[in-house]
Parts: sequence; structure tokens; C-alpha cells
Amino acid sequence: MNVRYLKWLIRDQIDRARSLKDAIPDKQKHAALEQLASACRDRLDEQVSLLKECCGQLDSSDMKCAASILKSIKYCSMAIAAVEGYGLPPLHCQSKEAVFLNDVLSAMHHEAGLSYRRPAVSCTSSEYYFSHLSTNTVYVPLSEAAFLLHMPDFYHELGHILFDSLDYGAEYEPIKTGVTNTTRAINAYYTQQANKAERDASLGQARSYGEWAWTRWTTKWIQESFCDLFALFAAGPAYAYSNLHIVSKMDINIYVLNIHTKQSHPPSEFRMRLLDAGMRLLGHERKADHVKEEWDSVAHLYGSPPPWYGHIFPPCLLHEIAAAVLPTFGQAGLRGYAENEQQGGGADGTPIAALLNDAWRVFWRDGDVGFRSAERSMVARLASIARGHCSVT
Amino acid sequence: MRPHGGADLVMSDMGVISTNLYRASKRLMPYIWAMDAIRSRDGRAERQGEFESLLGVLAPLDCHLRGEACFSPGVDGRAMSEFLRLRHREGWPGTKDAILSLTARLNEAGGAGAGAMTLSDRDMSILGDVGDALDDECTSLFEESRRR
Repeated sequence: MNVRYLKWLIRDQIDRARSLKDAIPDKQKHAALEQLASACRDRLDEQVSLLKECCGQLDSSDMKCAASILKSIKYCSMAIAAVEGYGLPPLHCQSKEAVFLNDVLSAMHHEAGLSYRRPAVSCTSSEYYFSHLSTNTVYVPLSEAAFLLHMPDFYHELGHILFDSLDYGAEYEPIKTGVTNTTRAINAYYTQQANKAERDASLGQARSYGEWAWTRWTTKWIQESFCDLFALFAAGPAYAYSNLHIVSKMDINIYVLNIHTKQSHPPSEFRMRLLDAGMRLLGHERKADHVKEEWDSVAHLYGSPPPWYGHIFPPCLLHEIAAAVLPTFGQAGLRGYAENEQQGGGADGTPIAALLNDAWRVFWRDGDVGFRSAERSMVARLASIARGHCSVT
Repeated sequence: MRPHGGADLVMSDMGVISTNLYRASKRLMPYIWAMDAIRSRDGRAERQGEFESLLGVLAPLDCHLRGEACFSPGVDGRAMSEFLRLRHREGWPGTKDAILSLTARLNEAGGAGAGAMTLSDRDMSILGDVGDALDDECTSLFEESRRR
């Protein structure tokens, strides 16, 4: 078997990995970025080792094993590309805004009582907030450091990292139990719906959508709902306001169900109802009423849901999810908005979530005049609080 | 993270795919090597690492088959289950029971530390199918990542 080309391909990828490693700056401007740099170096070294192993195996292999080796080379190439695409940009763009946001996210991580995997932040997102779990990075848009109203979404991304870390410590057992109970409730509900549809031919379309939705729940939507509820727990009503804001700006269809795709999130309408249920469970009745009022003023502009939509997202399921998950965060020793507000935190005693809720309070009071200059002052105050957190922890 | 209504993959979608592919492939290769080693010993699993490599793939599948939440990031038990269900359409209930039983036995033998276990031809066949299921999932993720 002529393995010359494969060996040269491996050499090319090893050279690329080494070049990327050399491109990592020696020193970073924030501890979270130092952790990222270290993780990127380790990941690149890991891929170089695997590629060298592949090279060694090529000499002694038959064609069947060569196919496995080529597969292994592809996966190494993808892993190297992932470090290049998602691990290195934050290290190359260490602007003062990026350092500020790393301070903020580190402070949020600490205030919430999270023990594992403090993430790094990059201001190079071309979309909205998202997290890349295998490099432990959160991406936000370029100008995010100057605004406060969407910052509660950081807590949703921390929720992804928490969900990804549930096996890390025994203290998270209550949360795992909550997620397990949620999974069981969803399985029970959709099994019941499937059995009903089997007996009633008129539910044909509901049945197709129900089967698809069930798959989406067990692959992605449970996690997204978990992250929404964690963000609500940690950030308070500010998260619900932030969700209202982004839906109003960016969603074309609040009832969207793309049945031929791997739709990654439940429809926004369901998410807002889940947050409403969550806020009432957490005792934020007044704010829940206000969010609902503002939401209803926008939601009716999107028309009505399809007739079988209610079968897929019934109120009973929504309440079960909120009730199963929300109490478990406190049981696991995490600190929510309410507890932090009572105890205070940071250099000037103000928890970050409290400041973000304050920003929304000022927005609703001064939205048409004066809010932007108030927001600028609050951003400066946030920088001081977050910096104080990082110097203490 | 916000949903996207369009068909094109955006950076956040690619990020999810790249994370899942990295984690799935990290379990696939040791699984394949563990299978090769066990085959070379006529079905005898002897090393703790072999049990860990096999269970690293079987555990999320086992969770999904029992309708439980799974906390093993990167291995999609549901996708693997669908692959296996299609392959064993005729005798799926029996195959499902065999997977659950094999996982329990591997947990018992491997969980105690340096255990050893001889796997039957049926066990090896199931392990081969499970490996193919994860391989198929990795291939799907790889192809998705190549979409423009």
C-alpha cells in the first residue's frame, strides 16, 4: 500500500498545529484567557500525538486499517480547525472591551456559585451570544461591551457550561435529578400524545409534528429550557426582559417549527411562557405581569399559532419543566438573583445581576430620553464591580 | 444562543457540530482500538481501559434506551438508537435487551477495578453494531461540518 501521500498529509497537519500553537501569545491580559491559551496548547499537542500515532500505524497496516487511520486523520484535522476557529480568535483580539467582558463573565460565574469551567469571552460573534463548549468560550457581538440590556444572556451561556459539567461534582446531583425528572415528564407526555394520535386519524399532522418535537426535546430543547431557567434563577427578571428584547428585534416567527431541520431551540413563544411560569415560581409576580403585558403587545403582531401547536407545547408540560428544574439550583448550592441581592457582592456591594435589573428598570422609566447616558454610567459602574470581583477572587 | 430560520449553517451551529464531533470521535477511536484488542484475545476483555472505552460509548445509548437523561456530552444516544433500530428492524426488542444486558455485565466486570470478562460472539456482534452506530454519527457530523 502506498502510504506516501497520507504521511505527507499527516506532516502537513502537524505543521499546521504547531504553527497555531506558536501563534498563541505568550502572555494573556486576563486569567480566563490564560486558561483558554493553556487549553488550546494542550488540545493541539493532543492532536499532534494522535497524528504521529497514525503515521506509525500506516507502515504496519492493511487496507482495512488504513481506512480507520484516514478517518482518525480527518477527526484530528477537524479538532485542529476547531481550535483555530473558536479557540484562537479570543486570544488574538484581547481588546480592552474583551478584557472588560472577561471580567464581567468571571464575576457572574463566581457570583452564581459555579465551581467549574470559568469560560473566556470573545467579542467576535457575527450573530448573537453563543458558547463553544469544547474550547469553553462564549462569543458575543463586537459592541456588546457598551450596552447592558442583553448582558443577562451571559447567564444562558453559563447555563450551557453548567449543563455540560453536571457530571463533575456530587453537589450537582439535585440538578441531574431535576433534568432526569424533566426527561421523564416529556417522554410520558409525548408517549401519551403518540398513543392518542394512533387512535385518531384527524390528529395526523399533530402526530408528525409531535414525533419531530419529541426528538428535538430529547436532543436539544431540554438543555435550552434548562439554560433559560438557570439564567432566570441567576439574573432574575432581567433575563426575561432581555429575551423579550431579542425576540422583538430578531424573530420572524415566534411559533416557528422547522420540521425538516434540527431546530436547535423551542419556539420563542414557548420560551417566553416558560420564563413567565419560572418568574411566578420564583416569586417575581409583579415583574412577570409586566413582562407579559409588554410581550402580549408584541406577540399579537405575529398572528396565531397553528391549530395543533397547543398539543405540542401544553401549559402542563411547561409548568412541570419549570417546577422540576428551578428548585434544584439552590439545592446544589448555587446562588440566585434573590440571594445575591440580599447578601450583596463585588467592590461596591452591588451584585451584577442587580445592576442589570436596574438597567431594565431605568429603560422602562426613561426609554425614549436619557436612557443611553444612564446606561453609559452603569457600564462604567459594572466595569468597576467586575474588576473588583476579579481582584478579590 | 438564538435560533436561525435559514438553511445555512452559521458560526454557532458550526461550533455545536465541531464540539460534538470532537467529543464523539474522541470516544470512537478508543472504542475501535479496544474492540481490536479484545478480538485479538478471542473475546477476552482484560484491561480497565478497555471496559472504560466500551462503556464510554454504551452508557449514553443505555441511558436513552431506558428513557433516562444522559449526562455524557458528545455521544448522541438517540441517534445511535435510531441507527440500530433500523439495522435490527425485525428483532429490535431482543437486540435492545441484549444491549442493556451487555452494558450491565460490562459495568459489573469493569466497575470493580481489574475485572476480566469473556465476550460471546453475540456480544461482539452487538459491540460491532454499536461501533458502527457511533461511526455513522461521527460521519454525519463530519458531513454537516463540511456544508457551506
